[in-house]
Amino acid sequence: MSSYRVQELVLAEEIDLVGTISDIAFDLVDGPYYDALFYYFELYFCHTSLDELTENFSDNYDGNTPILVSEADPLNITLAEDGWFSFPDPAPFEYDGENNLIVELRWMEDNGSDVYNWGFDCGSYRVLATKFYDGDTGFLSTKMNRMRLILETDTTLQPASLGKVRGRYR
Amino acid sequence: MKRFLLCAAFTSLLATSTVVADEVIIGDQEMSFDSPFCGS
Repeated sequence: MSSYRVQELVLAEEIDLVGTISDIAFDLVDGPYYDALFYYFELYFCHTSLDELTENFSDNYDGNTPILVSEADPLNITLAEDGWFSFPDPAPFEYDGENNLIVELRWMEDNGSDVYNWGFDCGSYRVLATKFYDGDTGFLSTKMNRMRLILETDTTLQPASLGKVRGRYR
Repeated sequence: MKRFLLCAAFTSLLATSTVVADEVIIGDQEMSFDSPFCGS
C-alpha cells in the first residue's frame, strides 16, 4: 500500500491551443489490468509560468490555484487491452493558451497493483514526485508520462459569408 | 423592413456556434515505466 503525489508539466507550445480541456488520458501498456485500485484519488490542473519544476509542489503553482478536475475513491483502472485510459468524469478546465499546465495526480493508498504507462524523456525537470500524499517536496525527474488531452474550442461563423447573403437579397 | 428581417434571420442562422474537439498528444512511446501508478 502506498500513497503518491506527482506533478507533470505540459508546455504551452505542446498544447498550442486555447480552449476547454474536457478529457485527459494516459497511454497504458503491458496490460491487461483488472481492478488496480487507488484510493482517495485526485487529479488537478493548474496554470503556471514555470518552464521547469522546482522541488517544492506549492512553489510550482506560481501563485495560481490548482483546480480539482477529477476524483474517485477508489479510482479503478481496468483495461483489457493496452491503450488510452481516461480519468473519470473530468470537470471542464479553461486553458488560457499562454501559461504552461501542471497536471497533478495524487492518492492516499493503493492495492499494490502496478500499472505501466508509456513515457518519454522530456529533457528537463518537468516531473516532481513523492511517495507522500501530502508531501511538500519531492524528487525531480525528466521521465514524463505520455498523455492525451481533448481541447474543445467554440467557433462561430464570422460575418464574411453574411455579406454575400445580403448582396443576393437586395 | 423586409430587408432588415431577412438580414436578421440569416445573422441568426450563421452565428450558430460550433464546438470543435482537438486531440493533443503529449510525448512519445519511448519507454514503458511504472510511474505514477505503481503499487509498492
